[in-house]
Amino acid sequence: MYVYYLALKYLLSRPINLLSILGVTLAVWALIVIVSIFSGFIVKMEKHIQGTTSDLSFIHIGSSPRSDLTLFQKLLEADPEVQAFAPRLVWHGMLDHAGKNELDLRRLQRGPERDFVQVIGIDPKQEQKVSRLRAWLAAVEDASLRPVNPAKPFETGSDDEIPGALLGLARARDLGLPRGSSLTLVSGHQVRNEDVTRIQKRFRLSGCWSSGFYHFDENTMLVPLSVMRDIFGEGRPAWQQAQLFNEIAIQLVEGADLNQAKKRLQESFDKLSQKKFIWGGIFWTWRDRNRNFLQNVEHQKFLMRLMLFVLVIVVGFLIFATLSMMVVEKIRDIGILSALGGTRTGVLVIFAFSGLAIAIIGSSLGVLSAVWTCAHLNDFNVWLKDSFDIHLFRTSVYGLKEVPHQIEWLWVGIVCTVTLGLSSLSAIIPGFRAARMDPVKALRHEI
Amino acid sequence: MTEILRAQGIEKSYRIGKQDIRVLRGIDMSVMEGEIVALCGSSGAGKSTLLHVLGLLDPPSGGKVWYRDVCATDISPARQTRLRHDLVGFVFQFYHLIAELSALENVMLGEMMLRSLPDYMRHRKQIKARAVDLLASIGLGDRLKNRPSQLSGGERQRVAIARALVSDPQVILADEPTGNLDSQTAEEILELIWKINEEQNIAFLIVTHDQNVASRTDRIIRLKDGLVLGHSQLEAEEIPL
Repeated sequence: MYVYYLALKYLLSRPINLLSILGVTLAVWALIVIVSIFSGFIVKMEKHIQGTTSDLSFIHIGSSPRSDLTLFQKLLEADPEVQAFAPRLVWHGMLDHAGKNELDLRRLQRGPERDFVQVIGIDPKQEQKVSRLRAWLAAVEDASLRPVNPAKPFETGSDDEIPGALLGLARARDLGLPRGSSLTLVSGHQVRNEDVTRIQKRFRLSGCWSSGFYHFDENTMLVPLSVMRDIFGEGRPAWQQAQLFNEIAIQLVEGADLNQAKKRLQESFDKLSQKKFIWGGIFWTWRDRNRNFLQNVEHQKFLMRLMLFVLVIVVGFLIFATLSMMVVEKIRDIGILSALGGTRTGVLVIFAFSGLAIAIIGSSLGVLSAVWTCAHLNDFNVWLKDSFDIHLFRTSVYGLKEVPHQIEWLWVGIVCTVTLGLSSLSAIIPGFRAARMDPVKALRHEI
Repeated sequence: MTEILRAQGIEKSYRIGKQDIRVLRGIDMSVMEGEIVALCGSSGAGKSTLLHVLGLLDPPSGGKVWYRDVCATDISPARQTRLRHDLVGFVFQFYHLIAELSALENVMLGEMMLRSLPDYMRHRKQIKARAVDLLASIGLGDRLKNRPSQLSGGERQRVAIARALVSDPQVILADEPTGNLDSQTAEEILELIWKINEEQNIAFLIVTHDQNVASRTDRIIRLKDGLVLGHSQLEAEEIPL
């Protein structure tokens, strides 16, 4: 019994032990809070990405759009798990919002990102079946930037013939563009070995959307599919022009297995392409499309976990050093305990229990403080920013309203188990040293 | 009188480098029930080593130690620990109290040693009451909660004696119990030892340099170069210290 009593007495009477407890607390706190933020961020990002990308996409391989939409309609309508699909014509270009015809040097110097844009030609009616377009439009709080008619978002309300275009709220705000602003898309395309054809098309800003995925909002412009077909179908017969697309967004039924559906559709398409000698293409899930980004974040999370575990190892060394010092300080006590009838095991337990108690108290405090921190993460973030100009997490960079977090209880369990294990191991070594000490030498020891 | 402690041909040697240092060279001695015995000798004679061997803290290189009819050197370390706890009390020159514990806790520690947590919880009140009584009987009833650093040398030694008494030992091995005290306090401690001996019939084996202490004991065992020179009740001036 005395071992636990004495271990706690030693623990509480030496300030350096409190330092070890603080070390464990901090390590556990950091491991839980930082990983929770990463997990929350990943969950949030996945949700946002999923919101801006349909379940499956067919991506055309080729430099110019294809014109066999009817073929795909048959293919997709035959699949039992395809709920809806919408053709798109996706292109890239430079956006000149001042209505100028040429890009001036000053704008180039400012950086290409500002003018680069991914243009997606969509049919709003079909698009609403595969994406959350209507919800994105409704998410724009500023009514002056919302489209006048959400059912027909490209309506500009202007009498001129200039077609409407939708910009992400982040981009429009960045450029300071009000609804009705003039936008010019500058790009080019090449059909087989012909010369590059210059694309220069004026649009009028009919409104904005906000998907919650900053990267998408910042870099994308939505325009009517018919306008894109006019641009790319110049010189083609009307029936061909009406079928132009280079991407199909596909919505699957609830509960469908993405990978199974992707495999099935790809196989059907491959058979069809061999039979009809048509151009190739691939089906991608939303995860495939954003693989790099998601893998990058997961990799960062893994690295962060690894780095933070180094912290636990450092804490293990701290406990080892603290308890080793305690053994040196308590040499005479070890002799006294032997004289009073204490066993070697008892002496070992005193030090091992001290280490375990440090780990248990530190881990408990760490878990409690981490849970509390996560619950008050936004207040904490604001306080850090206001007090020390430190950003725990820049919500604005990712277009988030608050710091994301999600406590993974399995991770909390792993952290506590590893911390307890490592701390116990760190405590057992000095404990063995103490237990092996000759009581007579210990009694003769003078401090 | 019954023999409580007996040493038979005790030898102890240490190896330093390639040399064997023989500290004890066949010691034969005994302590009887209720007897106070002084162990005297010059520095390096082997007094403290003998005390540690007799207290089963240090195994002898040869010979046997008997506690009543148990040959303590032939039993397992676990049984030696039990025997030490049950029959032997220790008092040291430098008190050796545990700094983190109060006077009361230091005394209670002896009784906590071999008890499990449930056993201790069951008997906690009795153990505490006995420790309080012991401290009160040696005049420390008002210093129960004081830590060793808050006590004087004499008070610390009293606490150490109370700690030795708490498990009802039959013999107390005292290593220069007054060696670190001024003469007046030393006298008080000696009076306490004799009082305990008289009231509780506990035997004491006292290592001492002090002629005054040795002259008051029942018997003196004189050591020189690891050998017993003689057992006698000598006149104070005859004791070579």
